[in-house]
Amino acid sequence: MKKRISIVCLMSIISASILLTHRNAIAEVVIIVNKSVSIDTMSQSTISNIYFGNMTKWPDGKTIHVVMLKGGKTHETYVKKILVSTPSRLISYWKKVVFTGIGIRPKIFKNEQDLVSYVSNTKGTIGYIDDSVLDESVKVVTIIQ
Amino acid sequence: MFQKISLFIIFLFLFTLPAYSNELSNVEIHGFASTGYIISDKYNYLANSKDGTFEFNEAGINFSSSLAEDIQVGMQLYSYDLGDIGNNTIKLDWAFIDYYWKQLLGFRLGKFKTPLALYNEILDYDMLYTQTILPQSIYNKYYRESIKSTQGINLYGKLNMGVTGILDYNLYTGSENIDTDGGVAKLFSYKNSVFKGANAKNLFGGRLKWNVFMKDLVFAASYFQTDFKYEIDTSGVKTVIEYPKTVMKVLSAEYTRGNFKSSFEYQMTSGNLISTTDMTNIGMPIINKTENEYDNDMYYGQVSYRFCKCFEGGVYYSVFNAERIDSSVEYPEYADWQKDLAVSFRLDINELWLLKFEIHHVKGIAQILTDLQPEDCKGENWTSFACKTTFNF
Repeated sequence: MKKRISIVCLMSIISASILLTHRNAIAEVVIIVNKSVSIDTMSQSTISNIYFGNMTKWPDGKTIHVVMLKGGKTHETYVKKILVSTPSRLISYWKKVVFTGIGIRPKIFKNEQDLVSYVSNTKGTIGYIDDSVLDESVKVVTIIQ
Repeated sequence: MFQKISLFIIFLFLFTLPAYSNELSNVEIHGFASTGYIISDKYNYLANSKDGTFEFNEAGINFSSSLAEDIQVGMQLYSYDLGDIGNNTIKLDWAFIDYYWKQLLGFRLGKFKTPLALYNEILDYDMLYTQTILPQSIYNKYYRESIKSTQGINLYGKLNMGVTGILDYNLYTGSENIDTDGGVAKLFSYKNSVFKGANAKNLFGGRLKWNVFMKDLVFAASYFQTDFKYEIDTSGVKTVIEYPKTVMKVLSAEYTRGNFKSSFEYQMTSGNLISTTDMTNIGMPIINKTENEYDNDMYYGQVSYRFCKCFEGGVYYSVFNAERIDSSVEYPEYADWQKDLAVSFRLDINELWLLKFEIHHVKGIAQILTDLQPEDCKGENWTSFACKTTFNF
């Protein structure tokens, strides 16, 4: 009896782990842009260049407006996996921009829905969200290798 | 009185504004304030540090706004105190209009941070680096005012070279006023003499930065040239010292990967100086003119690592080699160099507030000679400790 209870407990733990792992796997960060942006695909290095100020104009010459999340899982995943950097380096870069006067800090949102709403209403804007909050008001950019 | 009131207003701004940057209509406001302490065992380093000093602070506030999609204006007020220099006088740090026409070409007109080496533009902003004091071989705080910003025009742009990376260029020309109470004045004043003023009228330079493979590896080459003239008065004897052409060349490399960062920079400074002494005021109508050439080289290497979200550590080794211009005074040999090994720690209490600690083991005294006489030299090896706390929003 004791052995059976142990097996059931073990199975429960394994099942819970699998479920959690699966949930993490389907939670995916997506890159979104305002519908005025003509681009549909972007390389990872292009996205990184945009967020670290090395690319400031879209191919049609219009200015790129960057928006960011204040923190949280989506932000950390985005910075580490897509930008291949760290949140502290990203914030340092934008502080450098602000204190040397060479640019204006991006809009920073605490809430992903607010970010989506801003991107959908502001031309030339790029941002990132968890795909669970994605709606049709913005365009998703596919990352190519 | 005006300066004290202004300083009070800056501090009031910094500590009463909400924790995040403010946006009043379309104007962005950001600021910072830091205060620190330095102590050293044998020599006064940067400030009157032998007895320990809190005269080690800075504060700044900036305002910026977009006038149109590609046009931006902004300004920053800045104040600092470092021993006998700065004394919390509020100065305009930068103020310019910026038109970013195309990715390849933008213009800045006004007073802007001089693009030089890797960190010249950020040397006043503690929150942007690990160290408490940046390597003084290249980022000498006493020369800050002569290279920190330029009044003139700056052309800049970025060229995307595909898989090979991004080429970032800056070209600038203009002038810069040198304060009579700043670091340069202190460096060039001698006992019983008064620094009467200086300027750099024909300043120009450029920097080419190659960001290789995204942002991991950066190579940069900088060139800076200026003329420089100052006047000192020693009991009625006027001496005019001219540097018709001072040239600084800097080669830089920086590698960043995740939490690891390292950089190396090498600088050569050369030029000639002409000294003219006019003694007509004391009844001796003799004008003595001498000319000397000088050539200094300096470099540093640093590594830092962020161990967790709130803690970072780093080490640097910085070397300054000076060529002795005046050989008539017999200083010890170690007055010709300064080799600084520094260990730094940084603690980010939160995104807006940090603490730093740093210990320096130094050999040589080439960069602290200002008021030293040969008999004051107390040995080649000495140490100093510095700490600082900074708030920014």
